[in-house]
Amino acid sequence: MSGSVEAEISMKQYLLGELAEPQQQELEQGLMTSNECFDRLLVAEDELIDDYLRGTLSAREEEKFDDFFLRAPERRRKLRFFRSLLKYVGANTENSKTIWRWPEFLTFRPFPHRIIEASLAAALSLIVLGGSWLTFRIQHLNHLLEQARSQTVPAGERDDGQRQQAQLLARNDQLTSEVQFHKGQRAVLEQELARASTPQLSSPYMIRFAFTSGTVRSGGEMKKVTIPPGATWVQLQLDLGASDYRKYQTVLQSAEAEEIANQTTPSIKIGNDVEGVVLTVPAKRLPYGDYSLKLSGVPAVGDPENIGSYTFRVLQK
Amino acid sequence: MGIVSSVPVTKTEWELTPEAFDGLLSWLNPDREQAGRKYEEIRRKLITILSCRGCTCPEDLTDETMNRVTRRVPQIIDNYLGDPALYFYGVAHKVHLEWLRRNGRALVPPPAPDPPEETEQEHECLEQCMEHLTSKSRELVSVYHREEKKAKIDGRKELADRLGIGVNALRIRAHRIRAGLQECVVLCLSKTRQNEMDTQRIDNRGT
Repeated sequence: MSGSVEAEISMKQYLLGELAEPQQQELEQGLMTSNECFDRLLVAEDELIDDYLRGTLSAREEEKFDDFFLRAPERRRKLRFFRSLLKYVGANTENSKTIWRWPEFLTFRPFPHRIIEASLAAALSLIVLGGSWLTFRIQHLNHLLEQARSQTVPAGERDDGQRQQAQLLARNDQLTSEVQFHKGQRAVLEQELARASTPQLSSPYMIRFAFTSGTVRSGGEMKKVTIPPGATWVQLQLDLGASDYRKYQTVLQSAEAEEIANQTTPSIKIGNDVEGVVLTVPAKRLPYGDYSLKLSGVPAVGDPENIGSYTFRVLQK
Repeated sequence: MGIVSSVPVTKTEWELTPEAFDGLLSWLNPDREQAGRKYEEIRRKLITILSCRGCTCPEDLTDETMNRVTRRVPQIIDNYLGDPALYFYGVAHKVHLEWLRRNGRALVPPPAPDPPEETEQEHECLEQCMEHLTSKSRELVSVYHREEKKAKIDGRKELADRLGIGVNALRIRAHRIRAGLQECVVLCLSKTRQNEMDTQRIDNRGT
């Protein structure tokens, strides 16, 4: 048996409370002095939970898992988390190969429902292609129209002139109406494109607004946010920029300095390599008016240190 | 053997002072920032070890251990040789034995099933947190947990090859992403609950 397999088995026995005392102490000393060993234990713990949920543990292991492993509250939380994770992965397996993604500027996050995403992607592609074709077609027709308008009748051909002029006028009318038709079509497509490009609610009840560092801090231009009537929750995301504290305090106040929310949390990833904090408040607590968001870094020792203050205005819903 | 869910730890009379804490940090590392990291690392490892020993209150026993070591630092700082983490381990072992003596190898009642609404909330939070991941991390987690048995092993090997890393490195990477996700979910759940309580308070005030 290779050393790593042996080590894995020992870890599993240890996690299930089955390792003999001397081996247990030896392993624990390794955990205390080696981060690599400790990482391996955490991985083994995750995989034990995964095996349990997939039903691949033996009956005896399952019993030990229930009676011993789940004693620690943290492990019960982890089990619940894994259950959700496997459910999520199971639900998203069929559609996880995304061919097309929303560009970042269109939305703060991709659509949760892959079918909607795929349909909108196809619709948007059609609109873009159709729009390009219509632009080309309109330009071509305009060009023909100009040609028709600028065409002059030679002096010696007056007899045929009137007939030709009548034909040209008819052609002119036809081209004009064709241009009008295509312009109308284009307008419809552009409206559809605009609808598809509007930032979406990230869920049926939550809307998200991002505050990036340096752009909306107080003293700059006030950010305006519109909360749609259907939204019940508002999520405010603050980009932390280069700040590096263990925790951050976020205080949301109305223009009258009434405190609406106050939270202290660690940062989380809010985008590609972007650290931030997220404050979620009920939409009804943000009626029309001005608000300020104060962000402070909480050091390990001492009082919170001010990082910045963001101001924004909620417009009429 | 009795049934004990969470037994309080007998706290020492001694109070942790800033000076004593500074002494502990200096022992761990002359650089205060690195000392702070080392402190957190030791604490985290002790909590894990005590959980692995079947302890129902690992955080409390760890805090007791940290306090006892902090108090002992002035006596050991000049003579102790080796990794301080092992000293903490020795003290934690003793604290755990004392706890066992007081409580016996207690049985804990099986955990109550999760309330359905809590599970639902957790799932919603997880969906939100998954969207905060980079597309690569999201894909890694999805592929890592997708298959079962042989297909799972093959799938992970293929994924590791694609990423140009070994399977063990992939397992650690997947673990770190999951750990971040779990932290995000915990945060999201606490916010949701806080918001619900706030809304409830406002509604009560309104009526």
